Amino acid sequence: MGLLTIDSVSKSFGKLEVLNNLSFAVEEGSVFGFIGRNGSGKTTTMKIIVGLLKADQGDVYINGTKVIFGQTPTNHLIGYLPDVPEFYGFMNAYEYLRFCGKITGMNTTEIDHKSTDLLTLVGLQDSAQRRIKGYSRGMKQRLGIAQALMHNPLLLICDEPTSALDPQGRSEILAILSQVRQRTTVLFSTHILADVERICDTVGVLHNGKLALGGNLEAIKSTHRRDTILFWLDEVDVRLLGLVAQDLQTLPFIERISVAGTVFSADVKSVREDGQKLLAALAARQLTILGYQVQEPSLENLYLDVIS
Amino acid sequence: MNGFGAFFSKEIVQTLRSFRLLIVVGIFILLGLMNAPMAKFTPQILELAGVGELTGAMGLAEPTALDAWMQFFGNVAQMGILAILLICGAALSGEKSKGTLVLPLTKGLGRAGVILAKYLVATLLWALGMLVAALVSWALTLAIFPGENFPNLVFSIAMLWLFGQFLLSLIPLSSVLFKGSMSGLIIPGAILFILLILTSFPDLFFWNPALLATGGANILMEAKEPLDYLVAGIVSLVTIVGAPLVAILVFRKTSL
Repeated sequence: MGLLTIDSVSKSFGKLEVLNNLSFAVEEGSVFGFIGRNGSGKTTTMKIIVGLLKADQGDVYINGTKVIFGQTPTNHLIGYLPDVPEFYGFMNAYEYLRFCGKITGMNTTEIDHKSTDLLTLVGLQDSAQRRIKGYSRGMKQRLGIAQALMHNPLLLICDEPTSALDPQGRSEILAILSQVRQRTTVLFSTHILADVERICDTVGVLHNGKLALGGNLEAIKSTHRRDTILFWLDEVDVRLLGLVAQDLQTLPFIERISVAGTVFSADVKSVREDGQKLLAALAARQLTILGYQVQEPSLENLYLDVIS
Repeated sequence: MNGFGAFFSKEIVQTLRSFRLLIVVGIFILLGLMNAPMAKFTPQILELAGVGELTGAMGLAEPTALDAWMQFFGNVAQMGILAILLICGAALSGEKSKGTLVLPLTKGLGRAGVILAKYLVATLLWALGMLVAALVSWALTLAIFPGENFPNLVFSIAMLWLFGQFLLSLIPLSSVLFKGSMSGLIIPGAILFILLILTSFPDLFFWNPALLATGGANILMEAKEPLDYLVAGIVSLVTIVGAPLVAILVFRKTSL
């Protein structure tokens, strides 16, 4: 059982079925990228985890303890950052963290120590005495991470923390989340795949209310790696390429060949076994090879494959 | 009731920084200031307006302290209650619709704590407002109409306070049942409207808490006895305790 276990959770809003028997687990120490397009049910799942929404069926466990809707014991184990965090604008950042600390039962010394530490981590130490109502969206997002970490949660849940931010704000939040991974397990939802590739080691793709793809990111990529080899050729040889392609197509280990400009790509049965043979075949046809690369599957390709 | 203390402190700071306390004190001082001078000068004002001629030889009766207190009950029962409802009506529904409760609730703050802290602050504001208005009114009445005493004055004022508290106790329930930033006013507004209509039939609807609002004046005039309002008082007390408890139960089952 993982730190977070979602077990056969279903949820509908009226006739709209958002989650359909969704199951997955998040292991301790991982950074889990929860991917899905807008409206796929990521926020719904997260709200069920923190007890703000009631699942129609199924259970959620945090560290083995069942989440009960409307009650909050398991929330002591979770730090939650909603997509648009709303704060009390009349407080300053330090007061807000103190308020959060008191709710979770921390003592004054702990609160002081932790607030200073977290405000430095998220880069708000110089704005900590300013009222929150004057904060930018990025600053609120950073304060959101600080409040979520206030009580040393086992699991940090962030709902699209970078979606509404400008590139600089996005980069800052990702940098903070990368640092946070040393302190806690992170579940992070997004539809920005580049963000996932940057900081996550595990992913889950939510599609049609179910996890359409899930597991260790590297393992998934290697499982879904297509044996495609790319060759960059000299421009002088381009006009020959069409003929060469037709010729090579007859070789038994070639499955598919395509040509785009000076880039020649070939799907083979096995890169390891057939790469050398193909290289030799091209060289035998007097082509100058400027580059050779085994194509890595991008998360974007995997994602599009899964949802199509 | 996890986090009640922290949430109540936050409510107090918010009441101060949003000037709600200042506004309540200001409004109720005004409501206290108006009564005795209004009673004193109403005959002159009417005379200046030419009403004196219409009343002819009968003239207008000399104003007394009772007139000042009639003004008090009229003003506080209308403007005072309206003001406190508007000031406290959005406290919970506003937070619910804005989403500011999400973070503290997901930190482990109990939902009962939210309801009770907000109800307690509304209760304190209303009690303070009533106290301020009554003290100012009492001091001015004593100055303008010296020597007049009413043995049931405190009881009469308490009846009006009880009715206001009855309406305030409906705000949490209204806030959790309905959506929208001002939804806290839906049930108190609707109940107030219905009960005011029912006050036209005081004998039939003797349990009507709205009778408490005008009851104080009747008792001062010795037209009614305190015991005449016993059932209305009990209905109010039960609501004052019961409605927030029901609101807690409903809120625990509310998705946010």
